[in-house]
Amino acid sequence: MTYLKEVLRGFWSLLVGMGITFRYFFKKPVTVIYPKERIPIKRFKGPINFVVDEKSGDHKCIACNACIKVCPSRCMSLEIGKSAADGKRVLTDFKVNYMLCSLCSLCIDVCPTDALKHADGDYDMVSMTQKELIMDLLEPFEKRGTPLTKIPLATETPKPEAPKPQ
Amino acid sequence: MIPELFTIILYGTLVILFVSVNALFLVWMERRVSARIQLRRGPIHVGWQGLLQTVADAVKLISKELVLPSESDRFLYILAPMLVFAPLLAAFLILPLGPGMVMRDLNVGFLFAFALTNITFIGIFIAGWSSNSKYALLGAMRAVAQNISYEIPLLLSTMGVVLLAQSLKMSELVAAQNSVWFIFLQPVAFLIFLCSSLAEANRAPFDIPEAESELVAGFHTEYSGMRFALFFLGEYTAIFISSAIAATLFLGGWEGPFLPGAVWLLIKTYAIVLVVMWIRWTFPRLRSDQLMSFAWKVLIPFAIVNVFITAVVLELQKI
Repeated sequence: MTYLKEVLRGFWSLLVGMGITFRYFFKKPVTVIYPKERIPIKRFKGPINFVVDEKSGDHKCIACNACIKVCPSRCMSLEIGKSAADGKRVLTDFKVNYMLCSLCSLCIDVCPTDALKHADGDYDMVSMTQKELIMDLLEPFEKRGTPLTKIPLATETPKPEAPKPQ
Repeated sequence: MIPELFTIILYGTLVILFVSVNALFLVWMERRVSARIQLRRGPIHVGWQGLLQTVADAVKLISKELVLPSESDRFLYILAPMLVFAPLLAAFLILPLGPGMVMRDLNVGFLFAFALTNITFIGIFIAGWSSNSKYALLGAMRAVAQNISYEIPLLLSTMGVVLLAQSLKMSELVAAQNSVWFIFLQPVAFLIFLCSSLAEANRAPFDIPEAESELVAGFHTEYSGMRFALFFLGEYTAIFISSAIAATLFLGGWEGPFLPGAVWLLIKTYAIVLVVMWIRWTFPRLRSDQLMSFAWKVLIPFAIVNVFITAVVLELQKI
């Protein structure tokens, strides 16, 4: 009698197991076919990028050099010009060498105006040349053209960056 | 004489063609089914739904080097894959595709198919012996031990069906299921047949002869290229044949409305193959002693009791 019970119980357990796999058969596969499909990733530490100010559509950088000083791998560089309109310091060039960047976020922490951030979701960064990995952060703003940085084009003519020695 | 020879060659070519295409399809199906059960997608990129993936794999296998292990028995080593594959082709001789559509409607019927498929185990043992490898030899020994024990419940389970149909002929077996399929009259026999044919085809959960985790690949460890492909082809053909025989014995063979007989037989066969794959990706592998005790302590007693009860009921009906 115990023998029959054992056999029946074993058979029932097999059926239960098959039921489970049957349910899994009709579930949606979790595979993401990567190059075709991409999942947006939140809180992903992508390359350093400028925060776009919602009001003006401009970046918030005041060219204070704090990020350059704090950067442990010295991967950033910026150039400062003087606005022809009101004589304020303005950013004329901001480059990040992504090959050196260790994504430590120190520049983001130190920025007084919260102008920097990690780019979200840009997790398939590859390039054929090193040139592509030296990123010009002002480029997207220039491309968009619209409000652009506060640099009036006049900066080019009164080039004298004399204010420095002052 | 000449037309006879011509038809033999024609049928042979057709069967080999079908076997190759069928194996390619079954490998694809297996990969897709296993993928879906494990929440993956499986091959989907090559061809429509990845159907050409296995073709690409086959091309790769053909182009591979044929490695001959050192100190192997050369003649037997080369003979073994053929010995495994060739008898399976002969089993197509008795598959009835429709009324009158059977190559040879033998009196011994499916017994002929089982007798021939058993030659494969000699081939498997030769493969294990001749390749001069401990994994191959262990796998081959396990395969032979397993197949000898599972042959008994396999044939005993079919006896119930034979008693009901009063014939071993495939065509008469199908004809006997005109009113009701034998799976409803002989459910226990069907289950025993399914289990035993799984073990006969070395399929999981009875795949200890080629247990990947312990024996690398079992008896075909040392084989490469097209010789390995022959073993693979043989395995999937064996699954197809045992499923086709199960479909004929228990599911009414080619009988069905609207569609032609061959299509019905294929539908039923592939349904059983799907169940076989489903079983494979559900259950873990049995241990060697569990396998033996399952055959001798569960399957064989149940099969004998099934034959006995069937015979008694048939006799009582006569009175």
